[in-house]
Amino acid sequence: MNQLQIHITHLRKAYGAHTVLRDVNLALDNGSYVSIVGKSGSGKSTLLNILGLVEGYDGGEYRFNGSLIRSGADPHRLRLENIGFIFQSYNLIPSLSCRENILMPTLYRRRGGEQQDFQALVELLDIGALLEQNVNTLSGGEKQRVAIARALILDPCLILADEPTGNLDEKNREIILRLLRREHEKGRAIVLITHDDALARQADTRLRLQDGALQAVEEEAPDWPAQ
Amino acid sequence: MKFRFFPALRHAARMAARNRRSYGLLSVTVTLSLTLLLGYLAFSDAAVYNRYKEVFPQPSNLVVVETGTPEAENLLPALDNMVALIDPDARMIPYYKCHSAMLQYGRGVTSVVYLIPEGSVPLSVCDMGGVSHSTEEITMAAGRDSLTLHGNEAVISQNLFDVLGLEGEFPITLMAPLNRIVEGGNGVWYDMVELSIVGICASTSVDYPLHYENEEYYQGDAPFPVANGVLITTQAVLGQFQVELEELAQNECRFLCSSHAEEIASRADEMSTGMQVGAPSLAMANARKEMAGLAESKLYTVALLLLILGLNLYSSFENALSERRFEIGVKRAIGASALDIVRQFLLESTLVMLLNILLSVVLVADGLIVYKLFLRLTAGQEWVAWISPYSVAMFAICAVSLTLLFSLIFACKAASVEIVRHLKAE
Repeated sequence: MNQLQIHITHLRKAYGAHTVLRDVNLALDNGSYVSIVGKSGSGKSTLLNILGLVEGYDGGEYRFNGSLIRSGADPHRLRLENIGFIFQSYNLIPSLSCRENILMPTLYRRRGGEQQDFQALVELLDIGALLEQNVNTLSGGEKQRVAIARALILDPCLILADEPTGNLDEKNREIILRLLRREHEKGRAIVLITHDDALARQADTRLRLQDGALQAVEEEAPDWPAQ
Repeated sequence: MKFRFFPALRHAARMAARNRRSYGLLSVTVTLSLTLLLGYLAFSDAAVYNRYKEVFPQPSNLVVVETGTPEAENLLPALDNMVALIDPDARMIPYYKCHSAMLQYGRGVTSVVYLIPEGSVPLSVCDMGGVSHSTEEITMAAGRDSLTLHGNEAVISQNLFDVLGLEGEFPITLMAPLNRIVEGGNGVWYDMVELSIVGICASTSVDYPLHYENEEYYQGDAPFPVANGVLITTQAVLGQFQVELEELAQNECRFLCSSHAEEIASRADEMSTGMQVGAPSLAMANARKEMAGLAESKLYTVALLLLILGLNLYSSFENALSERRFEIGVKRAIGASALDIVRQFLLESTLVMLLNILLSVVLVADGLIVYKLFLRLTAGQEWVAWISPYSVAMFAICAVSLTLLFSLIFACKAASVEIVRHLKAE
């Protein structure tokens, strides 16, 4: 796992005349566990996309491990080797099996690049029986576990989760949150976007995105679910 | 990063297979168009070739002039003058028709046909009953080391080999004119017989050893008017003509060998309608002219087909891409570069196009075989499936150009897919 140092200062993003992010400041490292809440349309997903290097920005500065991320650039290697994305709608490729979806990032890594043990990951997420199935046959919870496996396969130092439990039942929700906590304990930074305050309380740092800027909610001890 | 080709190829093949529905629709268009194109090229070439197929293996320096009519006999001096003017090095091959009883000769040779020089002593042969008049000892100078012939094999003398301008390694295919008597008829016919020349025999008493000096043939010190030659072949060849060798008589035609065969044949043809002239080179020239004319029409047809196919391909690939935007968005989001996407779609489309090209080649080859069999069974006709190198090159260029062009377009369009927009769309 790589070291992580992210510094975002005075970040700005607009879609035409509509400014979504005005003055976002954020610092992350390997020990960070951040939840971001806010109303629908407040720009949470936009911020996550910018953090995840899949979208550009219009102003301010974004430094990833000291390197300035220029707007318009496509730092795909940084994205591949350092970031694991977990989407609300899973974003699994329907024409591929679960195994193929999980191993998809390995197709693009360089020879000798880091990779987690596939079998260990499968056992951790309890998806061994699903590997050869097509993803369309899975339930929501199973899909999300497969998506998490894909996000973790290259041992990223940063996990970005956009409403990871939004479509799940209570049971699967708890499973996912435990997984995220475990990964955080391993040293991965986690940024969790949610509009559910109860979920947001799980993180070390809780922020609210309002009027295009991040504000601290409150610093509380993490509210881990019972073992 | 070093590009890992085989994993990328496997992935591209897998994705092409998983998206076979959209590629299948595209493939129908491509295969149909390429099959039509290749079929048009192959069948039009074969039609021309089959009109001239007996001409191509013939020596291009040969001119055949029928001299059997009184009118033609009168024109002989003029013919000789004309030949001498155009090509002083032109050589006459006097040809004698053979009424051949199938006779055994020497060691292992079942029959003999000789082209013997004008005015020579008739050939003496040994008949199968062992009653010999005289025998000839034939030794081999090149090629096969024993005079044992089968089927359509033949041996010729060095003189004839040189005069006909043959070259290459044995066996060499030679289309030789051998004539025959039509039963009950008055005409003299000659047919082209395909012979397989397997060697050169050393000079015999009827193949007078000559040396060429000062633009003249000499036998010893005496000048010799013509280059003579010996052709030895088997009973199987003459057996096609149902002739019997009884005596040797001078033929009513002349065979000329000249490097200006085409010009001589044209001039001889103009001299008189009473003198029949034939030259493989003339027929070859006609064939070439016909093929050249065909080449121009092929070009227009190919251009039109390419235009139609190109438009179809563009819209087919566009449809295929519209179903893959989500997949591309996901792959880019997890870390694939634009170049990774270009590679994947370039490999996919190249694989699909190559498969279609192969399929169209197989379909056309099958069509040619079926047509050949059909003609053989229904009309007893031997039809040769043939395609010219020009057509093969044209098809290859079209197929490769289409593959490269549309694969690149497809791949570049795939790489320009916006990540976030297409993730949200799904």
